[in-house]
Amino acid sequence: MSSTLGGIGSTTTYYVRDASGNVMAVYESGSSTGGNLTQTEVHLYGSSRLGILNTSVNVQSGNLLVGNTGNTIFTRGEQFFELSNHLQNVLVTISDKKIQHTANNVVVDYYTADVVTANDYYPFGMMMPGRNYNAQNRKDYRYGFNGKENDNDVKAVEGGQQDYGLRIYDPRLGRFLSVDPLTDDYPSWSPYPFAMNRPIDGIDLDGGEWKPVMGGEDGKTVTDYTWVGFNKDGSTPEGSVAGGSITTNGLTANFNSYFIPYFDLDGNRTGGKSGGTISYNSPSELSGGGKSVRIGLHEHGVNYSLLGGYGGNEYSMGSGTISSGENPAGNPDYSFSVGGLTEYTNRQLGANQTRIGYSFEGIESDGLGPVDYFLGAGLFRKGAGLFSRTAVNLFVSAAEKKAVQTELMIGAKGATKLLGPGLKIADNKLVQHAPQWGISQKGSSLTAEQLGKMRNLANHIYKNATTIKQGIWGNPSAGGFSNALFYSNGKHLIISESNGNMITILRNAMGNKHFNNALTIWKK
Amino acid sequence: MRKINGFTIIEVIKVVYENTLLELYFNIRQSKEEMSFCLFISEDGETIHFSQSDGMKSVSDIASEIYTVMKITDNVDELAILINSEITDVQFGIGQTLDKRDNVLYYFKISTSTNNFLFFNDGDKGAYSFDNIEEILAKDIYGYKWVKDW
Repeated sequence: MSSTLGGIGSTTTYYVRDASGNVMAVYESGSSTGGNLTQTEVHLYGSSRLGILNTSVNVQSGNLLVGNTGNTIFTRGEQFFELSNHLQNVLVTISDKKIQHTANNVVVDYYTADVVTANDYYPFGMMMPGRNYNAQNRKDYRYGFNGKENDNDVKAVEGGQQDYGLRIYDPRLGRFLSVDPLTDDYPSWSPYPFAMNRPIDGIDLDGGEWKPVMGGEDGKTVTDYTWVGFNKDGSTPEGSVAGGSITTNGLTANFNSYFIPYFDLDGNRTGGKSGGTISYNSPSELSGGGKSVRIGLHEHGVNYSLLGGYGGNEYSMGSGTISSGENPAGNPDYSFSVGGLTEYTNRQLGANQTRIGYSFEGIESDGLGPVDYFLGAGLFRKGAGLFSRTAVNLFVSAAEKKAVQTELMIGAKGATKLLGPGLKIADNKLVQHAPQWGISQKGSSLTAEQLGKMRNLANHIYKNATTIKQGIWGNPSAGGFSNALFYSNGKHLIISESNGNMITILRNAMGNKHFNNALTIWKK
Repeated sequence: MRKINGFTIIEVIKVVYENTLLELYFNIRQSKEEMSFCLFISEDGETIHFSQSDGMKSVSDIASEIYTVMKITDNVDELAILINSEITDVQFGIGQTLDKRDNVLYYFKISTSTNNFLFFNDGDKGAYSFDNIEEILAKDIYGYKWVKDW
């Protein structure tokens, strides 16, 4: 619970949040409520925030206690639902009330929505002058651009300042007001930009990270589309697939043309491969194993298939049947995962190969259910929709370990999927190490906001790990761990047990001797 | 560093945050001279620090908003066996950091008239041992050397 204190004779506001920092309810106490603690808002959630129920429940009156009786008054128009766009910008809020219209005052001809607020935004979030609406005598809606909460009290301008969690943002400037806490990781960037200056196709997640927003609809046949892959930095469109149709629940995937770029380990383009039609009409076409589509290419232009069979060798990526070109005969096994659910890790690569990691998604775990979109080595993920953030990461290596990475991202930066047990954050360790990040003083507790920042940092490091190592943490003879996992983003560390329980977080820890003694098990 | 050999340990104060040992204070006395020294975990968690000060520390001197500060007074805590024992030898386990090659402290060992005591870091928290010192040091990853003065 966090609280905002007013001055003498004013009101104190209490925010009740869940473990992730989402506001669940708001209470007020003070002059506006006659001194009684009063619930004023209940936030409504589905898979994301839906809106707010405005209430005025005196929780000190005892009416809520079990055994008391009384009438319940239900009022329409106090429940606000937000209508937002792909950036989560709250454009319109409507209430649960519908307004009837009648021509003759007898028969209701139709109903219209009860619009409470409406706003339009410039790309960086400033509200467009003259394009704001707030119904008279109705409470304002506290969320706005990117779905973030407006701090209207600070600048006396609606939407003039927003709280992104890690930082405060001024949409009129298009800049955050403080330095990016992750600025050490991005030395080529100014520490103040919003959403990496890409506010159209992505949002700033928490003041520390740009998140692409690209999505489609599931379960529909899509025609006349263009798929665009991005380079590993997500900054330059690379590759495309055009034409054809994709059908879910039956795996129809016909493509007229494609261009697949490939990259070296530094992410530089080394060429590409264009081709003709790729066509599947049903899952049976993929059955039997060994039917593969080549998609990864080696630096000499030799084809390697990274897409294996389906059916006979379910999910195995061409087990024994890497399709063409310089098929590394005798070394057919690749380790990869399917659907984010099953990971095949016991397969060995040949001596001249290096695997950096495959992530295959899009097939039901049993392979029998509705088949997700499936494109060569890539696939189109069910649920997340077409052209979603789902990543397809392929890594193929060639002779003398001159590996070439073909990294295709259906989506954009941030698409890389890290397969792991999930991080179960230890708040006590966040408190212990918060002073290292300049978030608190040694020996001080953390506010809900500070704790939220530390949780975001921990998740950021974990999700953006470029190296995972496994080894000893502490002294196993004295309470340490012999099988700890070290997640490094190249600068900081998250250390966890193998079951995902977080052991600790360390800043600027690349010199840590435990980390350096551990065995690298994954590298991006 | 002022020598602490010959001093008697009068009190031990333990600073803990949710089962994470962070600091140990030792109030020591020799004749009429009183002083204290402290062992604590560095901010990055990997090394330990040693500091001395005149006079004895009290729990109120160390009080913190969130830490639990405990004076060891009886045999409930294993550290109690150090109380009233005389320090006969002090050794510092010194090594170098990987990145900057700074000399840092990884281990601190004192011998008393009755025990040997080792303080070290266990990842990013403090730990100590009386009985398993050799076993712990056998698994050293820091490449330390014992020195008498630090």
